[in-house]
Amino acid sequence: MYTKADITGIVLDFVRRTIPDLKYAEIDTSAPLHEIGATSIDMLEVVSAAMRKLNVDVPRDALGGLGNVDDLVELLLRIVAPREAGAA
Amino acid sequence: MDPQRYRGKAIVVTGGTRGIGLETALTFARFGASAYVTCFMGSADERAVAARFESIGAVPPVIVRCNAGDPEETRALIERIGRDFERIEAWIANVSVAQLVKGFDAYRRRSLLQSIEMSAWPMIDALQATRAVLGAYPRYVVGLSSVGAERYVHNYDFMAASKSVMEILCKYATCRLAGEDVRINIVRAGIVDSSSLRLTFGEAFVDWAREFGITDQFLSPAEVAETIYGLCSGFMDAVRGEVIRVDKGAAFFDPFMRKYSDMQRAF
Repeated sequence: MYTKADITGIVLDFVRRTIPDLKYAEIDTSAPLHEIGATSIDMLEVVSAAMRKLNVDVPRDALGGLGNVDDLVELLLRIVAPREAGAA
Repeated sequence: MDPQRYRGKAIVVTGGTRGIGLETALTFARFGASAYVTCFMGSADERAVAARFESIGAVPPVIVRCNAGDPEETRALIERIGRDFERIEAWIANVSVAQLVKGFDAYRRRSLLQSIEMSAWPMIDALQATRAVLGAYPRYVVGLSSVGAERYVHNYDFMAASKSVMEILCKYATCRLAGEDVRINIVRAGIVDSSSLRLTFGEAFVDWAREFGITDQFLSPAEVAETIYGLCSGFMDAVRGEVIRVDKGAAFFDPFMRKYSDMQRAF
């Protein structure tokens, strides 16, 4: 069962792996993506890695609304939660 | 044309679960191909994709979650194909992932390099990896370029730059591989009426285009797919290192001048 904290941790781990400058940095999860130095391609890679880790699919159309890391965490949580509720 | 030209032969279409990629895979499948189609996000409706193949009586596709921009994943895909086939007959480098930019201030070196890595390099990577793993290049390689490489397209700066890199490398790779059993070409498609068009430019773009009378020149994904197949059909083997423009003549068409002509006729 993944909690919001779990998913935040997973996303931040992939953000740090994808963007070398953030490897040891404190990341403001509410800051606009461009302010933390993330490109849209970085976010695609983060989303792809998180999908594999969580074994979920994220609709491509949903990616356009991602403004910051928090948005991605919320999106993943919305996708993971119903699946886990069904499994419980 | 041999209706079973591709029977028993493997082809790869990156980004092959929707739009041009899916239509291309289906076109090859109609000619008997065993199609390996990749999707990056893994969000394809695999049952719907398989149903399209089934509806034409084709060999079921193998849908692989694979980031075409990742050399390791590309190699893994080729190794998987190598378990069932000695050679890949055609590789269609369809995937493009690039940073859309809203202005000059948004230009970032890293974004440009990432765009090239994800949109231009995969074609070269596929060539090198296929040779390394299977001992032979694909017989046909087609890369998908776009009209952005020759004229302004909204927010397409880095996508267009990536496509230009791909077009140039197609020509140079053809020279470097002269004498090898491989034909590398580029299809530079005009505006294709697909979900990607709306995702990239928004719904308003189509209304705007209609106002200027250019929607007649929009292409269907199937029209682009058939051109790609034509290049790989065996009838065009002398065509190598070329950029084939597929745009219903739009490159010569000037909407502004057309409007002026209409206005002159009206008076």
